[in-house]
Amino acid sequence: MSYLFSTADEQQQMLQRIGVNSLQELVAQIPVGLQLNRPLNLPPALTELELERHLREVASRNVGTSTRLCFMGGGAYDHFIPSVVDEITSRGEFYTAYTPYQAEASQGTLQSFFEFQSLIAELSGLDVANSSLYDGGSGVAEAVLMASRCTARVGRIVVVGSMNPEYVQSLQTYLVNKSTEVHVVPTPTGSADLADIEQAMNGQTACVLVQHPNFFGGLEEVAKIAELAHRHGALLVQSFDPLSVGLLKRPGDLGADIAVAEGQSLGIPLQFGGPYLGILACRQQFVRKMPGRLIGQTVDRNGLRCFFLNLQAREQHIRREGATSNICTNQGLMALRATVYLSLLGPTGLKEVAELSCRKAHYAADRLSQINGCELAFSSPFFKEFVLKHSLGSDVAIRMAAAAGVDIGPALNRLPGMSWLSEEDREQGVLIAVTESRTRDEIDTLVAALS
Amino acid sequence: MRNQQATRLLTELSHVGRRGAEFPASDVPDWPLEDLLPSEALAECPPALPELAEPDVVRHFVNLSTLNMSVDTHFYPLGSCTMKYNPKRNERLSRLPGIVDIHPHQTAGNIQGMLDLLHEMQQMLAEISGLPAVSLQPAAGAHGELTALFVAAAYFRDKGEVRTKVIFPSSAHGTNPASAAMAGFECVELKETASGFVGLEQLRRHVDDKLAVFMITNPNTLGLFEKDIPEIAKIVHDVGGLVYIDGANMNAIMGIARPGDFGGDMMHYNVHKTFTGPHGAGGPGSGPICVRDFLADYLPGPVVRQRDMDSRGRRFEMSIPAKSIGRVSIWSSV
Repeated sequence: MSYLFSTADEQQQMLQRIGVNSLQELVAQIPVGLQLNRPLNLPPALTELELERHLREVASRNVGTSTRLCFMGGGAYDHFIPSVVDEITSRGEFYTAYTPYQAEASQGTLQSFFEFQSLIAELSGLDVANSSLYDGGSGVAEAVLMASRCTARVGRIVVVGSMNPEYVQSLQTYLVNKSTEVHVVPTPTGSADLADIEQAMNGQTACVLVQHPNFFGGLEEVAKIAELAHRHGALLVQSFDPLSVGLLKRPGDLGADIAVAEGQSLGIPLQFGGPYLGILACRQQFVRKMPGRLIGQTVDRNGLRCFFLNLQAREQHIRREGATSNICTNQGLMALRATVYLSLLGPTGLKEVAELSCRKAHYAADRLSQINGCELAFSSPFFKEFVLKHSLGSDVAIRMAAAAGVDIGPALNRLPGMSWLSEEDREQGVLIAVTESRTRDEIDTLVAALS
Repeated sequence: MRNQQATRLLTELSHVGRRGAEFPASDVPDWPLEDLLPSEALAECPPALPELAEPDVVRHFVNLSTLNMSVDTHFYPLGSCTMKYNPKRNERLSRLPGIVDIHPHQTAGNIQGMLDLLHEMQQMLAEISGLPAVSLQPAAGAHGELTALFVAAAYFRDKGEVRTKVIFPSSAHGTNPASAAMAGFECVELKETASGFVGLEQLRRHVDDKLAVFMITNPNTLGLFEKDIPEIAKIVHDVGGLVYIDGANMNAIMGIARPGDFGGDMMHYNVHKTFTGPHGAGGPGSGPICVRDFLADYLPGPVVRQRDMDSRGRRFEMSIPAKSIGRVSIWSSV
């Protein structure tokens, strides 16, 4: 009995203790006319043995990375996850703990999240990070709402079009009932044209939103875009790949005011899209406008260091409709995964993962672009992924790869928005990402499959 | 046996040169990085992260874990958040290859098992709630509230109605008004009656044709079933508004009463409360929403649909609702 533990005997004792004759009596406060009065039409309960059998059958009808080579990208990646990450996050004291509202019962959680925040601040080159949002897409939306609060501007958001189109879509959804205009600047060459961005700005622009490395894997001139944004009184919000800073300059060093990221690359499995990890960091001056939980360090009455929830007056449980966000449950256990992962990697490991991913992606791009009928869609420098165009169309390319046990994608024609993409790029383009997990032989297998 | 050395901060435990994770040497050409990436994009050195060996990391976090109260160590009788026992099969089986290792951009033909599972979940949640159209996208209860409010906003805009208000009782969880404000609505709070319920007369005084949604938790946050819910729903529906049921306390009424039967038009579940998902010390959660048929077109996409088996043996597909508000989280592309 893993779900209902008390025996009939124990239930009787409890009922008697509170002076009630049956469970039905407890339900009597619900008007009879509102009661369902029939069993729910659900499949019967399964024992663990049956459940495992059922789920193994379900799993057998899915294609996962354990049986195929994964070169898929577009916001989620097949990076290696050291064993310690699962080991620590499988401890019941962590994963069955509650949200740390009661500091004296949650010091393990609070210190872990304080350390997460510290690591993210270091990764992003900014002053303060929160203890997580839901994912990269909703993180972008929260950052935009925050930028509006910081600048007191709600008129317009300028988005560099090379951003993950699903993040842009999430942002548009979050603004569905507001009058803020989301102005997407097309990037037909794969990365931003500064003149186009400047033209899109007006006096009501709260922020410029740019992803670097961008959705196509390419690099953007963030420092110049930041300078442009600041000149117009707007903030610079950068969505970044947390592993990329093993090699590349950090958002804070490039002039970003707010940095957001999808943290899936930091020790979180693919899991068909979630749970993932939203990351948000910003400059100190904006801390009171931040969404989400903030863990702080203090001393207890004995002068010993301890940790607590700081600046709670920003949050929904205190400020209600005046809160900086409605977020309550965030992604605690995923933040813990990232903390453990980063602890294991250290600066040397982070650089190694970034460098390996970058080198292998360039090897793949080099070999693939030599195939007759294949070429890179964009000529800009890239980090660990790129868009490959196949003259027979991306769907054909995906099938050819799949026949050799290799997965590439997403195809550009499966994604929302990006109406400024050329017809050819849209129909022939497919994302290919290469992480430190892929070997040269595996890359050669992909090349052979598409030849 | 607490090890206070190990629970110092990672930065204090750091020792230059220590490493936890190592990787195989590169097996591809050793091109200079400056040839691959422009020098102005490259950092001079990686971020100053702490340097620890694997046992350092293990001891640090194992000791930290002992500083927590948790369901696995204690009875945790917290209201609303429903700290139930988290069965261990959940953890093991959700990590099965073929479930844990699927990329979100996988195409439908490669994930018929996953789509089958998600479709079944949609159906079960619909049956338990009495509301037929389901979105599994929201990542937490508050996210579900927000999503449902976006759906309501789109629905009213489509009807050409300007509705600006959301009403809720003062006993409502803070996320209710926070979600309403975040979704661009004006918040109106009703003081509950002396016995802790929503007052009908008060409600009647506050509803008008500017009302978009009335949000109520039932059983409410005081643990009481709002018996007047049919009358409450009628008052709201009579002015053309929608009733939102915050499902945080669904644990008390599952199989006994259904939000769709007692007047709700939309609701969210907290899977990490009601359905034994662990709390994770503040997530990950899951906040699927169920809505009436007439709101189904506005749900975020994709949703999972079943159709006749095609020639390739595929029965499940991901589809975008006709007037979808878009997306609220990453969950695959069609």
